[in-house]
Amino acid sequence: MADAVHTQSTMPHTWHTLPVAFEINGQPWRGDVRVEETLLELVRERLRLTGTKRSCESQVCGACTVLVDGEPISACTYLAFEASGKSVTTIEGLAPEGRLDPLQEAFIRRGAAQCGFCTSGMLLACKALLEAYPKPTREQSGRYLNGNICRCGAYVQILEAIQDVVEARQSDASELPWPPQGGHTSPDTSQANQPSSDARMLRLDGHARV
Amino acid sequence: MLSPLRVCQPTSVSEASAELARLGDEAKVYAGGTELIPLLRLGLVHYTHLVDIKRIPALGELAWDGQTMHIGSAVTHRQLERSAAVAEHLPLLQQAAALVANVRVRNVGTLGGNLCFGDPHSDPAPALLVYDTRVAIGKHSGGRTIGFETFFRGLYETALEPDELLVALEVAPLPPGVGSAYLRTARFERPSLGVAVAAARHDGQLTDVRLAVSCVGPVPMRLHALESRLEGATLVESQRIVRQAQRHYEEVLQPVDDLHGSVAYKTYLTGVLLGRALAQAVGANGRK
Repeated sequence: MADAVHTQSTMPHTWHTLPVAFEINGQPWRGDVRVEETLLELVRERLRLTGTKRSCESQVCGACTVLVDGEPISACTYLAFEASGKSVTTIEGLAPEGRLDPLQEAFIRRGAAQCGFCTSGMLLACKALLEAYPKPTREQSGRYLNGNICRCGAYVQILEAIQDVVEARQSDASELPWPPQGGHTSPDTSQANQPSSDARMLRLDGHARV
Repeated sequence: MLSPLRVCQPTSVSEASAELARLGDEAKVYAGGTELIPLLRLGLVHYTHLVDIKRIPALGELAWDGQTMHIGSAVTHRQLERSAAVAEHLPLLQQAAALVANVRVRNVGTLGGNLCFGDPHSDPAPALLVYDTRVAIGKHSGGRTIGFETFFRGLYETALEPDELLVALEVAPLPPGVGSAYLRTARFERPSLGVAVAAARHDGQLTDVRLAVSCVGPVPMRLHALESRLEGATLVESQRIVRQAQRHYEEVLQPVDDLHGSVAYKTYLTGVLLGRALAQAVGANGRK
């Protein structure tokens, strides 16, 4: 190997590529990665998992959030070789075989996405939140998610979606409540023909798009 | 896209230090990368080699020996935030660690990285200044220990030589009965102004007063002269003193006007936050 030029020295070798093996959405992956290759570049460009979004590239916005061993990280600045031996979950791993996670169902029902660009990262952050705090208070949720920015401003609906999942777990219901409880702007079928500007709309194309 | 990089993964401090000495300006210590990678991407720094220190066992240790907390420099903010021992013995550090940036940065970023970067806008630095903190520094030809107060030398400048590594922090808890508080303002990912305070109150008089301020000047600092003026004062008196010490802050902390605020704003707010933190440290009010 071209890298092994320092074999006679006691110095550690320096590498420009490293062989790594990790699990991605439950599947094993093995290959060489360049040292400067970020996990975001690996998942988007080599694995074609484009649900993970590139945005601020400075760990501020959360659009590139993925889970490494269940913990959220910013894939934009996380070097891919660091994932070696670990388990990576991207948004594609949240709905294996097309079966949506309860959080995804709740996001659709609550209309917790508008443009959708933050949604992949937001969902994974929410997933990790519910692992850290199975019954989060609004303050706990807000603090945990303060690094995931939604420029459309769907924060209220996102917090409601989290609450829905918590309540559905508690009541051991397999189905989330519909219409959603607790929101004063829940869509009301009696107003179906009189849409008002503050009525929350069910995203009818939600399933088709996720 | 980052420029091509090479990495080495030494397993001892002396190996890492020797590698830093050999590579000189081409290499930088790499732990979490949460400070370094964005700077490399923006082209603000140029390195061709990373010396990954996470395989050095001593740097990952987090242990309480009954008197001192030993915190390896590669321990993450999230580990500090979640450690029951840190919460029990160093609550101020636990609170500060929990406020660093966001959960993704805390999962990856390390305490050592935050400190070695030398950005004055640091959450853990003022907390560590309030505790009695020693810094263990290592290199290929041995090591040394310095007080944490002499660690920061200037803006983005620390006491570390180019071939030295921050190995660990040895942090002693506050004496029994001494309370503490960390308050900050933060409009960006980093704090805009942070104060860490410790104090006790006996018969209405403050004792064991410790004041640390970050962000205002080029380095986070303890305010020893002001601390001694508060010894024996009542809470109300000491709050008046810290609010009226704006000229003192200007002289000692050396603030500059920047995006975080004007000099006048920063020195005013320093007094306000110190006053509130003193009250919180002695349990005089319920505000967070």
